[in-house]
Amino acid sequence: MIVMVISSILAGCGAPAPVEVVDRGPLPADSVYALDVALEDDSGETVALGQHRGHPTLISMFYANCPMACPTLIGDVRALEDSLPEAVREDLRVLLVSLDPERDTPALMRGVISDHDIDADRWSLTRPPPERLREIAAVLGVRYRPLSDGEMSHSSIVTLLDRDGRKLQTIEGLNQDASLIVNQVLAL
Amino acid sequence: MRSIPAGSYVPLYSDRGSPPVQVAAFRLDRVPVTNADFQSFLGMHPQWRRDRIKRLFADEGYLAAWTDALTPHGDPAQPVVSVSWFAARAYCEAQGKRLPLEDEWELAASASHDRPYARDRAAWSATILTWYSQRTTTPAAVGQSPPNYYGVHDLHGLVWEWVEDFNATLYGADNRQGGDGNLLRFCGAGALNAADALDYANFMRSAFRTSLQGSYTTKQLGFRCASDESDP
Repeated sequence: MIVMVISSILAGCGAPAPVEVVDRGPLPADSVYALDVALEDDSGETVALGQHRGHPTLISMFYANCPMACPTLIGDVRALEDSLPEAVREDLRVLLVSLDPERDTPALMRGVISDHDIDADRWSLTRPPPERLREIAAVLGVRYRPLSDGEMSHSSIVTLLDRDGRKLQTIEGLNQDASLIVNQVLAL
Repeated sequence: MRSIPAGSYVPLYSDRGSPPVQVAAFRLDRVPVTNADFQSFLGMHPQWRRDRIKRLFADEGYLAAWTDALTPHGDPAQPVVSVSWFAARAYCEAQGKRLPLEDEWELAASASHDRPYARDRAAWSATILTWYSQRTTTPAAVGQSPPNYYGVHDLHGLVWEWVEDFNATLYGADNRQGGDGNLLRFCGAGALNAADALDYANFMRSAFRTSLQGSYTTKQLGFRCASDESDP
């Protein structure tokens, strides 16, 4: 594996900072990251679905207006993280993609990050272009339907991706099965 | 394509007591996409050939019956089957079209040959159910059966068809399940619309969609494209 060090300008600070990039070669054909879609993150930056390539990543879909289950989902993922040894947790990334991109602005997503005391260095909250939402959901096996009251009915699926974005474990409803994911993360 | 005027229908998934869904006017392909159509598409967009497609976008069954990557097996006028949702979507996009929404498809499929809304006709439902129970043979060529009220062929009786929002259909496992998933897992059943109890065929389609993933392919699943009425 080739390790390159490239320079990058960090947004907003103007000073070049070294960023380590590992060339992992072409994406596997079954990688979720093969879906070429640009997301907007909580700081308004454009990021790729595969922005965390190189790290084991938990990926799920949420919406910031969600009154009940989304806090539950975020809390469950945090609890899962807390059950990992620190070194493993530090390597793990979390990517949440909004199901309500028209309303989930970066400001609203930043609110979620502060409300839930999220480690913003390892987590990213993002929103897709609205017309790409169905594709992302389809790739992740997430089902959703906007409801007439403005809420969203959706399946709470969390998927563990390996360092190249291949699905390792998918669980629906974290409460019961989180140990499956924990064991998979530990095995990586 | 055929123009389908704006209309309304009561979908299976509707919240109890909620008004019918209003569907704006749209256009729908007269017949399902055929083997020949899909063959031309693959020539122009080779990344969707079965030997090049990324596994993320189609399972192993994708066009598996074709003689080779560019040659359909059987009649070119048969509906193309064993295509994934991603591939169907890419095809429609390449034509400047899109997949129909579930509401659009169901509205167009509510019509019998002589009336726009036939879901409440027991005989009509029975005919569809008979087809559902028999789908074992290779589909015939498209456009052979009589058109429905809107001039659209083969919505019933040939193959199942992808819709854009196939993954909007979900029962149970709702996000709002809170602490006890099992308690509310089947809450969605309460939302099933009893007024359409006659329409068991609709229930079967809905259940089928629930079982699908975007990369799935089956020998009885094809598609057709739609567009907005306002499109050129």
